[in-house]
Amino acid sequence: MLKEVLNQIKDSDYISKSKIAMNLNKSVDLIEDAFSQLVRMGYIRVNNIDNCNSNCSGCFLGNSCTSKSSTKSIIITDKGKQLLEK
Amino acid sequence: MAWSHCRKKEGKFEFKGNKYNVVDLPGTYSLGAFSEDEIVARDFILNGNPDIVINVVDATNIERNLYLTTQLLEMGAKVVVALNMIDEAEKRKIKFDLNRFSKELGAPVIPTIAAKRKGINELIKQSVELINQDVKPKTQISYGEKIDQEIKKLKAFLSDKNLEYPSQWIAIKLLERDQYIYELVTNKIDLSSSDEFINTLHQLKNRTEDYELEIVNKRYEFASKIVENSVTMPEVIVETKTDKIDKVITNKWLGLPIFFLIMLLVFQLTFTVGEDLLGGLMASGIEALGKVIENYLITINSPELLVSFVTEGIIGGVGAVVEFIPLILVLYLLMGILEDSGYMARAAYVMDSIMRALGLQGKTFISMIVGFGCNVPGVMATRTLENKKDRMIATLINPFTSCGARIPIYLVFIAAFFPKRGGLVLFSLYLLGTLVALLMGKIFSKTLFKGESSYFIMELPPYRWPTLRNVLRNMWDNVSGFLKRAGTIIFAVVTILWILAILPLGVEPYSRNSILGQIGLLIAPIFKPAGFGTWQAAIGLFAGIAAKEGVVATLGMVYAGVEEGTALVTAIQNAFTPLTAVSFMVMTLLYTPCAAVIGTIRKETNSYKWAIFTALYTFAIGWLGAVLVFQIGQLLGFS
Repeated sequence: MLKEVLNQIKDSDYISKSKIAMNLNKSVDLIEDAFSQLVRMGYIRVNNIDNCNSNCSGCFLGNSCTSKSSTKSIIITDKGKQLLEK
Repeated sequence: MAWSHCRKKEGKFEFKGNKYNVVDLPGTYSLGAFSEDEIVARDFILNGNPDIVINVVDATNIERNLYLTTQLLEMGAKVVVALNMIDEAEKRKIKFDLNRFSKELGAPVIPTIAAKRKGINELIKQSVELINQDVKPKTQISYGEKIDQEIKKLKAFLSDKNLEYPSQWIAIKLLERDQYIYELVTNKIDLSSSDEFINTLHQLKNRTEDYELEIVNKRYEFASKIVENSVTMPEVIVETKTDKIDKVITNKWLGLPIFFLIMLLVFQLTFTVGEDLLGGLMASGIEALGKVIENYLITINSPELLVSFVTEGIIGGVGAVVEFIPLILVLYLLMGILEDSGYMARAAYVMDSIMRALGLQGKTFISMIVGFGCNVPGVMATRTLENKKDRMIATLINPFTSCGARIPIYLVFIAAFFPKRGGLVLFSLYLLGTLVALLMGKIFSKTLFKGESSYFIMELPPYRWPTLRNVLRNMWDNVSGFLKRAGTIIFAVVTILWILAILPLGVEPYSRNSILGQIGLLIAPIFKPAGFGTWQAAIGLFAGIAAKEGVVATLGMVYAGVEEGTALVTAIQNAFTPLTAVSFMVMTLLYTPCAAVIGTIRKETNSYKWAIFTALYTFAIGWLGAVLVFQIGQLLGFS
């Protein structure tokens, strides 16, 4: 299942876990778990990309930061790419 | 939940004359060694010698929950499954063949509804009965021929070594490269002295196949097979609302026009509500407050200099900035709604395709969105970019994204010359800043920072109704930040400028003969080709390098000094023309960012060179933009 999820990630422009769940006929929660497993095993890397609160805590200018949503970026690591090539 | 027969004190109950201790373990979906909860649960099950483990699983999400069950079975624990929320599962048309489910799992399964205390007695009864039976888990998961062989091989070394964990489980963990177990077995004298065992471990460590992936996959397969054979699920997984909305919002052709339309609407509403409805109130309030303070200072015979500092410096300067709070308030209220609804993440995604087409990293736009609030966190947000090329480009172009501090400048000029088209002008300025940033990014990627951009995929949050709390909090964060800056940096800038405006003593304050005037006169010729070569405009731009709000504060001060009592907007109408106003706004949009941003760029790039480069090249771009607007505007007959 993990490789299938990885393949879905590779083929997406953006990640919709519900879409992946639908494609693989699994629950969204299960796909969430698969993501955690893939991160833990180093096949993908997840970054919070706009949580500026963490970037500028202690900075008085930080309050002016507009973006506080939880957008994440997913990067398929070299290990992940190797798995996809197999 | 684990029951330890009369050993722990976490909870007690009596059943048929026997006393039992109940230990509630942290909720977890797996038993690795990757979180504190997992370690606590795993260690207790392995070392706490529970007589029985009750695995409470959510019947509405069975496949996910069974992963933990498979791990419990791997550990050799006596497991009773409490199939909880069975009523919810029935509502969702999830049906269990309980006999088959229990048989395939190799453990008793008791349906429960914990919230209504249904099934609890049966659960206790079955659990107590199992405690008294000398049974081993019936289910053995196969991990595939190769791994099963490896497990067998390792078990041969491990058996009879009096280890604290079951040998089958240790073997699986070794194949999963579990560091804790690896150290445990290598520290065991019997084992560490066996060359064959050490060689086997060494080979496992250096193998290229990922057994861990295979094992995890097999656990999922095991759970999936049980569900397939004994659970009837509703047929279709319905497309979520988020997916349906995204089909339109992130559509290849519609996404960008929708984004532009939404932003235009936001800016237009900002003016309609912030300026037309609330704007006058704040201005009148500040003016009235200024009068009251001035009268009071005169009444108590305050020195003339103090009266001048308070009325012209603080009220004229800081007040000119604070006057725009209603607009800032409405703008960030609307931005907060977009943010909290999940739309802003889509905006980044929509822009991502444009960024990619330009050979830029999509994530750059996210740092730009952050930059629309403030360029300091905007520059910091570039840290998340993977390679140096992308990071450097994103850093160098971030100052072109129009930060919140520049808004008061636009608002003054819009109020003076384009009050009916405020939204459109503001939108155009943001768009221009974005386009210049993209253009410069493209130029940098072809010249200074060549190479491939890294690839990434975005995970978008689901859409949701914005909550009042989050939206108001976002608004307050921004407005309080704005006020804080007005009370600190802007106050400091105004104080310095006021001192420069009244020195040398004896000259007419705020005149061209003051130090401030002289500095302005020195700089002003640079801006003559852009149409605003006055010393006041020049000194305003100069102050803007300390903080962008300083531009309006300075204009407020110097014009208040020249024409006392005249509103800043009226003074601007007299000093500028519509064309020079546009040219000045373009300059303020694009020219050198404030000192805090330059400092951040130095810190983030670890180089003075790039900080100075940014300060200079943005100035050149700003100047060029302003000159082009003015010169082309004149050629086209605008004034």
